Amino acid sequence: MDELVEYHKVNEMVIRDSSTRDCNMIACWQGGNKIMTFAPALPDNQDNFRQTGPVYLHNVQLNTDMEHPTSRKLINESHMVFASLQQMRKEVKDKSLDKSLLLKFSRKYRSILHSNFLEIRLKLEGEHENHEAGLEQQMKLYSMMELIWSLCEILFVENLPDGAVLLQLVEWCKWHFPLADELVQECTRSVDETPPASHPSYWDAVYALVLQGRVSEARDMLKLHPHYQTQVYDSFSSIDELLRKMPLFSFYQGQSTAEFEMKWRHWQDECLKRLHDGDFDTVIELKTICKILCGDEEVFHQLSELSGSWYRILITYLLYTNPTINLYDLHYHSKLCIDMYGGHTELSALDNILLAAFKFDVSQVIRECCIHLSNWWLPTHLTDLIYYSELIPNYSSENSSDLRDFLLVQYANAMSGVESLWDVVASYLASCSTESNHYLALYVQRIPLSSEKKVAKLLRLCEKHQLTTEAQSICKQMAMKALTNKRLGNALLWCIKSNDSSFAMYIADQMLTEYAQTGTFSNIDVIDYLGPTILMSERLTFLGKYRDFHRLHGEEKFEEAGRLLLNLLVSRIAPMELWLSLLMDALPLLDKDKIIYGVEETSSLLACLNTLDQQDKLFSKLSESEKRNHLQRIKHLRLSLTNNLARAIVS
Amino acid sequence: MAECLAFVSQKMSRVRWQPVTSSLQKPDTFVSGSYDDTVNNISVWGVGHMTRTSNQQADNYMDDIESSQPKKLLECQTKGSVAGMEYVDQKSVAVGLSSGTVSLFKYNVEMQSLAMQQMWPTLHSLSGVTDVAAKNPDLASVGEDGTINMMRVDCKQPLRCMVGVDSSPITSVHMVTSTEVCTTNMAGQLRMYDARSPSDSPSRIMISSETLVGLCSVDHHPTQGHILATGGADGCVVLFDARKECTPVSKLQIHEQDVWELRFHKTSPEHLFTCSQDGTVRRLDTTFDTKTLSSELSGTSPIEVSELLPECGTSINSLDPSGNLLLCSSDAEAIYIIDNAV
Repeated sequence: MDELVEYHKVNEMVIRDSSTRDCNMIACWQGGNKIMTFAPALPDNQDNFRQTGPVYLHNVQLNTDMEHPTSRKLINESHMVFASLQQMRKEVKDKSLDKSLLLKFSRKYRSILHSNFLEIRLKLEGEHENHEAGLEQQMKLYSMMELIWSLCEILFVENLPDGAVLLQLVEWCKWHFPLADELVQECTRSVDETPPASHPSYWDAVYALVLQGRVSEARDMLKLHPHYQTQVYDSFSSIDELLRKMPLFSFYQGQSTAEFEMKWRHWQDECLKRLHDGDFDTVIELKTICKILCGDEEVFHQLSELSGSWYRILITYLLYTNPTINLYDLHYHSKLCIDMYGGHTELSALDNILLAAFKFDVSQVIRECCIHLSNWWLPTHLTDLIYYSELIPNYSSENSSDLRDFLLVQYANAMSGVESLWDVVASYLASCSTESNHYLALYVQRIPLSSEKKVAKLLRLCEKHQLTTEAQSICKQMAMKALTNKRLGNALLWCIKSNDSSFAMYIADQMLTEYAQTGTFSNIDVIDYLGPTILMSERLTFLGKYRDFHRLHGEEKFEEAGRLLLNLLVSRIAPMELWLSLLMDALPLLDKDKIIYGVEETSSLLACLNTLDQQDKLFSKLSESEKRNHLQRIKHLRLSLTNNLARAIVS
Repeated sequence: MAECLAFVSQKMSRVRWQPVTSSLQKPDTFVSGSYDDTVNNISVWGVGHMTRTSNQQADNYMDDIESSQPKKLLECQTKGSVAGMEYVDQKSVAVGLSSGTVSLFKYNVEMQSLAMQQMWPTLHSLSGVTDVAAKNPDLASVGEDGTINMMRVDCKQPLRCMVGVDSSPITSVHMVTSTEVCTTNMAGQLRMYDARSPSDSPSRIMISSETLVGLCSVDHHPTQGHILATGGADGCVVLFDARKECTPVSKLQIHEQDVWELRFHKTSPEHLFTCSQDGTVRRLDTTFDTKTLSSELSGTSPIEVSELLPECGTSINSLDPSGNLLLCSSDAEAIYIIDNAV
């Protein structure tokens, strides 16, 4: 299985850039597996940097594993499981989950891996041409991950007592290595043409079944042999008896290991006796089978090809020499088995991972997985599962939390290249034990604000994790964006959301400037319906009331309008720049037949006018023509107000 | 309530059942539009149905599961995220994209074709279209730029462009009749526009709350057309009566977070389905009689709320009821089909 190492070879890509004269490119990381490269400006003979022609920025993305639809399925499904695991941990605050619960979660992860594997296999079988690139590699990767995960589940999570471990491992072998089944199928497939026993793979099939500990199936195969039919006590019946009587540890029926051990020794002694008596000398294949049953090392060497790899032979070896082996002693016999396959130098990456698992060296397993697997899925989720569990001896909690955080961040980083997965990334970052808010804040700042709906979702995320500064910042960014697009109403709404009164004042000023220039309000529909939020900023309140004035004037409720206008001036809520226009607005009211402003009111208006007149600062800012206009208006106003005063006094 | 969950590797912003020709027919085809992905597309899916007879054994269980999983039949790329999608007639779908384009797609499953039939480009600036509404042959689209466009199938130019009529982004649109359009916006207003009137201003503006909580979705009652239901960003469902004043008839806190979509059941209009950012899908059962809803005198609430999908961890963006089946899409890149939803 050298694919693991090959998969991680350094990749090469040719970038065709027409502006490069020489081989000169500068690159920098963009984050999330992206690299930005470009051809820099080269100095000419006088050391001047001059750019000839256009500059191209190349955006290169490597390791686009995560973009593959099957990977995304894996990511999302496993995220659901991950999230419920974290939720459960939060509820069980004393930090150690029940082993059966952990097993459930582990099985969920495994089923996700398996279903993805089946899907890819289906895809590969279906279309014969036009395969998506790397589907085969994906399939291999999934089967590998499943293998590693299931072994880790048996050894680390299930943590079975002596004897039961081996049973599970035998199941593991059966499930993951269907060689025996394939051979049996080959033999029995063409029953009509060649009887199974004459098929060249017949004996291989039987051996494979026995090696995997599937004795009843082996017996069934033997029954198909023509020589079996004879009733005379002979080698076939003998071997059948031995196979039938092989004791299998019935852990779940409450058998004790001592009892089983005794039975098993008895049985193996019987096997040895029959072998030495020469019961099987006539049929050499049956002798081989008996040798397997006796745990003969030599025969395992012989059949090593059939077994395929050292871990399978290890399980077979243990099954026929020491079936009540302890969980922690499994690896003592591994050297023997590895030597059968060429020794330690021939071990592939996968072999190393499995060896580390047998040795119970969890950190080594994780380390090897990180190095050799092409994505971070497995180490991240495995560490998370066994984190906090006291199943692993000598696994200190500080180290494990650092490791877990590191892996979570790496995994999140790998996913961050896919924009669609932003909430999954945020969720993983949020489950780091320390610094989670820090990572989350950094990440949130980098999520593009592509639409209002997305921003709404992003703000919900900030709310969930109490990232108030980021939320404020996002609101401000949206307000600025709206302002740049001249959508003052929208900008105002964002200001209100972030409770930013100074910005609201600025926007209100903009609106008033617009009014001054064009004579109309553009965003009236927002102002009219602001409700109590209009009190957020004084300028905004003024704007609202000014708008009310216009409305009242339009509805011909002149008295009310007049009162409002006076109020605006007298209460000093109106900015000085607008006083002149406000007073000008009062002019039509002064012309009405009915007296709207009484003596007191008119005096107040005159006082305001005087105050305005004395504003040299404001006056000096105006241009010559504006100054003339200004003085003209003041004169006009003074005249009208005095007239009104006269009328008021008289009536 | 049986539930089928399928992971589809893309976040779907809209899912819609193909309209059934008769109410007895079970819907078996739906379209979905993806968003927020590097490459977005619209897809047509087929759903097999579990036809369990009394003789079927348990070993057919795997087959049953297989057949109830939706299968992608057709796919077509779009330039930009899909923001709004509605069926115009049996086989054509109007799609509004984040690039500001509204397109009309036509598909035929037997002929294996799914292609764009007509396009109105660059109708909206800023972040493009936020929603589309359709009532054959009229279409309406709205965007964050506060613009409403009215179009007709087979007419190249839009019939009416009301540019910037709303100062706040318009979040959803619905055609009550061919000429009356109602929209909701981020300032919490429900507006009615009359396409026949020469002016661009709304015929009515209804406010959902004093506190400027945005509205995200709108739908009208199939038989009582004056009743409009809107979903708010605070999880409230606000009911309005278009004939009466501008204040809501009733305001109900159904969810904890934004109600992204709500839809009345076409044939059983006493059911209103809602889905939300909080990850739940709920159903309101009531006669939607304005008198009983607005009266505070009755002690017992006339409305029953049942939960169809408990909190699933991520936001549910869209839903569509048809017959007994409810189709939902979530941000976990998954699609749910809930059986016996009514």
